[in-house]
Amino acid sequence: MNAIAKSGGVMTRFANPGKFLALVRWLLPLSTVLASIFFAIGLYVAFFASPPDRLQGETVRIMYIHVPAAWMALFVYVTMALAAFTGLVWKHVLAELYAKAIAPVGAAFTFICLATGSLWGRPIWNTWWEWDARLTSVLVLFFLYIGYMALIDAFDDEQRGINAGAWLLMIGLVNVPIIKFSVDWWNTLHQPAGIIRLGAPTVDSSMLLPLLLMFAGFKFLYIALTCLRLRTEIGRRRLKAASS
Amino acid sequence: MTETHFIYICAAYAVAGTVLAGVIAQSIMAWRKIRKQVEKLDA
Repeated sequence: MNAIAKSGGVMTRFANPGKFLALVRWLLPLSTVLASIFFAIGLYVAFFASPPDRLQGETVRIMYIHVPAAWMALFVYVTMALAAFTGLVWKHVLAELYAKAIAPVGAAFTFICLATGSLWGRPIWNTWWEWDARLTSVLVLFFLYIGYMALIDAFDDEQRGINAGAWLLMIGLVNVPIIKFSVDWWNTLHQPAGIIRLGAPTVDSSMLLPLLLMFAGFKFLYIALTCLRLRTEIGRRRLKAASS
Repeated sequence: MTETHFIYICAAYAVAGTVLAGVIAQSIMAWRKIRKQVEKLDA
């Protein structure tokens, strides 16, 4: 009972847009600076300080943009589904606005993952696209993002659109474990997990470093964009409330 | 580095950079569009 009351207190505190806007004032510039630093160092290490792969040669450098984009595409979707659930159950204003605000960013990460994967696949697999389980499930993720954005804008009543979108996000969550384990469950052209796995990473530390630096860059960019876009959504909602 | 591989690497980073720049620009423009009205509301 105490735990429920405590969680309710935390929910209420973060439901206050005023407190969030105070947080944005310092978090947005900080995350922008950190994203720039990590991208600059990450790109330098990725291009000049990491070795070519034994089998793939220089083409492996595409990994430093492809893998972080893939991680972020999944991460953003999971946070959107959690926010949608929070919005439906607790009528949490910020959670509802978060999913709406960040969906184009998640779609962009997924598109980068698909496009760079295709450009990596051409010289290595000798094909731009293959209908294998990993590639197809990531394409489904991209369609989920697009479908969500189309659905929330399809209603005259904004709240009805957000609620319908929340259900789509939660149902679509079933695709996330399919993406993650597709390389284990099916015989795919895509290589198995090399970093996020039960055992130690199979990627050499000289390649793991630029990968993690680029991932940190993506992560701080995501935080900066969340601050920026959520602030815009809060502003839009306030203007709408003031005009009605 | 073979010329073909170089083209694929450049294309991958160009696509990623363009998409990210587009999202960043759209986010900034959307905020700038309503910023003055929000500030007027706060005043």
